[in-house]
Amino acid sequence: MFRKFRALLQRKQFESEMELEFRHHREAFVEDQVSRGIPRQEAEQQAISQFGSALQMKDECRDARGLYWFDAILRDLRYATRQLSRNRVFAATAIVTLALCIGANTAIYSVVDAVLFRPLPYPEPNRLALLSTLRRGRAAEFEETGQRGSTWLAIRQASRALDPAVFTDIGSGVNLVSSSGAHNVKQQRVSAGFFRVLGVPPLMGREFTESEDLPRGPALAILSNSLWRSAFNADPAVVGQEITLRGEPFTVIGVMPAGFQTSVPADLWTPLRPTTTGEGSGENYAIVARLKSGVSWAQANAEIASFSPGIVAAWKWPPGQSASLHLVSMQDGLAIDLRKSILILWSAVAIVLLIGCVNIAGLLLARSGSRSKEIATRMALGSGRGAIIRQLLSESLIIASAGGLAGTALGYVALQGLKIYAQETFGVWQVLALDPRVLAATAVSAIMASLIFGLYPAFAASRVDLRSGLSTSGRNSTITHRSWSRRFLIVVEVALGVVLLVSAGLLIRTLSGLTNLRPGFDGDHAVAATLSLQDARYSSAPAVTRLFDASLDRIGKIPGVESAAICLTLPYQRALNEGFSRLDGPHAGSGGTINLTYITPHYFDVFRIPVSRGRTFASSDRAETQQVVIVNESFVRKYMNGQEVLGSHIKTEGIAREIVGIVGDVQVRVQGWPNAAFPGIYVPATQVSGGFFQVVHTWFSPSWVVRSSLPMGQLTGPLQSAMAAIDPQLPFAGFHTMNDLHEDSLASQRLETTLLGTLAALALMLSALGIYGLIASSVAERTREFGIRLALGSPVPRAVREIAMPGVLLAGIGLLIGCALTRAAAKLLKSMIWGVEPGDPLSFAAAIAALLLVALLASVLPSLRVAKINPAETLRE
Amino acid sequence: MPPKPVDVLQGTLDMLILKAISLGPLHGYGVLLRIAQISNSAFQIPQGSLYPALYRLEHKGWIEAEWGESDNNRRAKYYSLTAAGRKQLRTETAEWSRLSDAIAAVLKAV
Repeated sequence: MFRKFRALLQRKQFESEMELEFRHHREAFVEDQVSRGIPRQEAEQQAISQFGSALQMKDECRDARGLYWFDAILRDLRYATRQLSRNRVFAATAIVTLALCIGANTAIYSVVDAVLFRPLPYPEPNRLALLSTLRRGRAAEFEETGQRGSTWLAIRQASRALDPAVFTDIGSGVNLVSSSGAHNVKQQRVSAGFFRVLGVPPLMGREFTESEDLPRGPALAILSNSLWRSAFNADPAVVGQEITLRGEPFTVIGVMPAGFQTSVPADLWTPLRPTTTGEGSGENYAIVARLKSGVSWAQANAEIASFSPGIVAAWKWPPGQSASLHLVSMQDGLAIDLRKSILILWSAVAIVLLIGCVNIAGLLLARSGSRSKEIATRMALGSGRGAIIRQLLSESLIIASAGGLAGTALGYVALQGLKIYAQETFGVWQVLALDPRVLAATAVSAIMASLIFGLYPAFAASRVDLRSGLSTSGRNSTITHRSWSRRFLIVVEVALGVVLLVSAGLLIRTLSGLTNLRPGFDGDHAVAATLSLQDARYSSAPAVTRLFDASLDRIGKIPGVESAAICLTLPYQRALNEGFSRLDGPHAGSGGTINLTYITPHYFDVFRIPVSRGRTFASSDRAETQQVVIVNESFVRKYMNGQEVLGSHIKTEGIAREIVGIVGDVQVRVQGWPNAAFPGIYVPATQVSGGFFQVVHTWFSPSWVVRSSLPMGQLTGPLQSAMAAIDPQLPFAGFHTMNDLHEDSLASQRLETTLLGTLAALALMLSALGIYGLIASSVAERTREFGIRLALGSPVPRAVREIAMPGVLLAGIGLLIGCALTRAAAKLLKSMIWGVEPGDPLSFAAAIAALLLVALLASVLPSLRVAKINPAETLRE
Repeated sequence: MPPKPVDVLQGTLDMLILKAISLGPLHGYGVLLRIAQISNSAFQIPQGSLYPALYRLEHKGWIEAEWGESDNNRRAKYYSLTAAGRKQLRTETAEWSRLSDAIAAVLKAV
């Protein structure tokens, strides 16, 4: 073995020495002959003829040295390269097809890997768990990781198997004032022990203790490494110093190491101070835990299962629903919302790759048709069946390597484009790169692909019947065999195409439905500026009211601003969910869930939201006057049927309010759906309490909205300086047109649709090429048969029909199978489609029509060639 | 007139090469010449099989090669017998004598 290995290394030397030795031999021979009086020229010719085939002898010498297998492979590869370069169109088609498929797979797989498979960047990530709630309704199960404060307290007190911590998985923008100015930074709130549970201690300083992480505990902050560098010049003395955050002094107690990341973008961490009231009364926390050493997952889950009934019993449930708690790995828990979209995309690229393989298999099959004579000749000359298969497989291997390399390059380019969208829209937080993990997966898929498309045609080709292979007869067993394979491939290709096209069609219909929803307001000339009011200086109602009045006064004076208002949440955004109850009418005492937004008087003017009855708010609605509310039409439809609306009273947040107006619905983000009309109420900003402001401002950043004919670019400067004049520590965090918000609200649908649509287009193109190739090659093989038929007097149209029919029939079978497959696949898509049924006839019809058209063209175009057949010529062939 | 050269018997080529080299180191062409010389040109070694045989013997460790100067100052590869090769030659010679004695006995028997 060692000698063989060394022989490989010394290959070059071996070759040159062998050459030198042979030359010496020839020269010595020639000189001998010359000295015997034979002319030099004749002697040289003798030398060559006596020496025989130098190439063959060299091969034998190499074999003698035990380099057999290596040479055999090299020989195969050399021969395969020669074969491929002789047939450039074939090679290029196959390689480009594979490169497109592998490229798409590489790019998508890097996202799949980052979300589903790559271990989390913490020590021993496989021992980290998230607590999840499995809700069972009548028809469906639903899993979520949001938890209540009471659950956290129960787990923390009782668990012996877990080391738990709690955090919010929503990063919120807050204002930080440092020596380098005011910044809006991303804050994540985490409990004491969060970093210990993850297993990453601070680089400097320490994390929060349990005695600090309590309501009204000290104001502390831990900085991310990048914030420490950018805002504090990496000054180690910052630990222990005070910074101004959310308008109050916070003491920095730690700095995290570089590269530390949590699942949401965060520049700094503050104590969560978990409670069971306020935010803690809803599912706003996430509970992470590390299994204590020696505890198995089964033991930990058994412990949670024993707690679960006691915890869940305290929750109120609609009839027919139940819930239980259990542990999932942290990795799976973080990916809970994304998993489905990611898996669907992954299946889609896998299908594209499969279609690509089917195409290449079809090409190879067609080629083996034209090569059967060559193969038969080689077998007749003594080549073994194994050698033929090895030979054909090495051609596939070359195609796979070339396609794989080109595909990796394509994948790299595609990933650069996909990266930003995946991070912003899907919230992929782990690194997205073509690292060894992804490249290994690419290599595996290229090799698998080459086996899928190479193995079958190779075996089929090696089953050549020598006699019929060597004669030119068009009818033999090989062709029959080949045509069965071909029929199978056509059906597979069409069926896979249906699955992808219908899926893409459903998503496109969803997106276009969502895009064309009537917004319910006129956002064309409205601009929104958002800032964080999670600020100690604005914890009382009078302080907030003063800020609102002063800022609106200043902004109203900016030239070009027609009207201005402030609101807690904007259209297209998720709003605050509140409970309410009716105080009069037939349903008095009962209520439901609604969206609640506080607004200032000109809100409906800014957005031109139609007021259908009653009045809007005015500056005369003050804290001490009658508490009032305006409701939207969805609210009236759902909760006020048969009841006089204006003048009725409802109670929310413990305050009774009189309904003074009805306004039109606007699109908002609703749990589960991107945009919809939802029952909602508006209350005047002057009539809410300081406590309410404090709670809602930890979750939402209010927006200043202005109506102006000026473009946004000319408004940002004046708005920012108007605000700075009133409070220099309150920078606007972002400016948006309503169009931006609309786009943002549909970003993830759009990304999913674009990706799946692109893949479907690729699939359609590939299957069009594939089906055309398969049918065209079967026509080519039957040219002689049709020549005979035409010669015997068969009319041309009939021949054309007979050639075209099988392809169309096969496509029909493929369509049927594809539709059945799609019915099953569409169930998986159900959560991603909106406003269309999984069995949407339009999507199915469009997909069927597209593929049928492809099959028709692919069948008819080659069959027209038959019309041009010259019977006399084909018969002579 | 010398008899018409015969092809070397299958399996005897290795033995002839070993014998030729046992008389002193030789390069490839030299092996051809020496076999022709000691057999009085009775054997015609097909040139195409000489080198594969040499490489095979070298691979088996019976002969070893060294680059040196030939008579006309050219670089040539000289083969010489190893200890294992010497032993192999003895074994093959003994077997060959036994075989040819046996054949001779059979042919004389009638």
